[in-house]
Amino acid sequence: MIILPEINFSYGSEFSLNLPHTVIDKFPTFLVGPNGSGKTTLLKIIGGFIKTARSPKVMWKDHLLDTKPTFFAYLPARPIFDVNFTVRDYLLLAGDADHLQKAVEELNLENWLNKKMGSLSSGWLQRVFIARILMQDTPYILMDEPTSFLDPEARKELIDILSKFPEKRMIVSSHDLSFLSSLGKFVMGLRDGQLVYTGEPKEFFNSGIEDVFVKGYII
Amino acid sequence: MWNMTPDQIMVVHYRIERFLVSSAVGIVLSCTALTLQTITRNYLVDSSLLGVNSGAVLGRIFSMFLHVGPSQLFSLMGSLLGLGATFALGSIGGSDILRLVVAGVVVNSVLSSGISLISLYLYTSASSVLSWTLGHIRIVTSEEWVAILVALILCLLLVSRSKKLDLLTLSREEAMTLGINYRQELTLLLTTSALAGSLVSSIFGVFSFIGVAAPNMARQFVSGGHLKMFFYSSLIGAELMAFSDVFARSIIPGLEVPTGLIVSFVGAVFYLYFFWRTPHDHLA
Repeated sequence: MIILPEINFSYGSEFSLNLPHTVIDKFPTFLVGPNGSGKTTLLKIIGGFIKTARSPKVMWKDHLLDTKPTFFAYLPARPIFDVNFTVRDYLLLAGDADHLQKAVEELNLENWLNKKMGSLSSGWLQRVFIARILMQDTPYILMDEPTSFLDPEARKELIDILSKFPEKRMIVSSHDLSFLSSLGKFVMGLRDGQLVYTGEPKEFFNSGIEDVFVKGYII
Repeated sequence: MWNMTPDQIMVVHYRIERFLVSSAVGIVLSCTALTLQTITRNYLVDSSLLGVNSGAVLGRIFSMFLHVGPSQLFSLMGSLLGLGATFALGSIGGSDILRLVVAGVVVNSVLSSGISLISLYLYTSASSVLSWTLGHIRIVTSEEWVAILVALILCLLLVSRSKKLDLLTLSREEAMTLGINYRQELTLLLTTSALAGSLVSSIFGVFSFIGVAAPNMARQFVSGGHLKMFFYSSLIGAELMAFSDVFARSIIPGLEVPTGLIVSFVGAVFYLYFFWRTPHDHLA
């Protein structure tokens, strides 16, 4: 469970994010909304990467604690890595050899371990990132637009992989609505820094969608 | 020295010491550059980025101009001043690494124009100013040896942070989830590498390119973590420097060419060779 306090956060005068007190206890939770609606900022606040006046609370080992980055594994929209690292080097940043072995089997990365990160295609890179996230072995995972560089096939693979880990509590920022409909259990709809929808994905598609995106949005 | 022929003294006291000095300089320049390259995520960076080198030259010129000394001390003060200016300018309105890089470029440019201005009007010593901006390996005093050892110890400190540096190749947020205290780690690494760079450039002047070349050449042979990269970069940096120094002493009989001049040339040629030799799609 994650408890968000009332949040009033702004970057200068350009952008502000204003949310009421919200409880997230169904996962995967999807943060949906157009570009610039505050999805990434909210993810960063949840993860404790950005400090707010009042800190979100996270259920951690039966205690409700102030959020901090080490409670999470985080996949940014554009992960940064050293192109000269091999896949093995990269994965070992997140855990030991046992963790590596498990994640590699899970994601069929055996033949890729000695390849350099700079030589991988977007689809395989995404697999390596997911492997790293799983190796971090945290109950909570934050993902920012994980499907944005993937073709339909790679996206389906990603959905299959993520569905194998129902125990992982994921919060995903996305404007990919088919991704939401195949994985999501809870939706927070953002628009211009305001929370305009919270609820089940089904209701979201019935009624909430027009508040979040422009009217006449084609699915 | 005891029971040694003049030839033996020549070898022990002169050649070996010079080999050690040049290797140490190569190691320091490579380790600091590798660290800064990781922090700034830019393979083309070395310690001159932080205003350290031009500060050192300016300090040295100042001491020559005012006839006060020791010039190494002034040089060190100059480079610390350059570093301080870079940090101060870089922390205005935020504290991200890009600001720091831009501040470094600005400080370097301002100090360099100061150097040019002074050397233009100090007619008699313009050529010694020039030889200073090139870097010069020489036999050092025992105080200078202490400074070199301190620089090497600072490099050991950098090597001991290899695991943290590995994590700093990730984005700030990803590194934080893996337990990195981002700002604290960055400050420690930046200060340490800048200090080590200052010590070297305050004694020997400025060696350009070797700091960039050594880690990049190492990347052509090995991949992976910083522990390995520090080792190979240091090895390559030390060898390049020692080799260039021998070359600098012997290329023109009776005349010693500044080592910095040779090392830029040798480094460039080797770098080009290794870069072209290996496929480099990973540099995309």
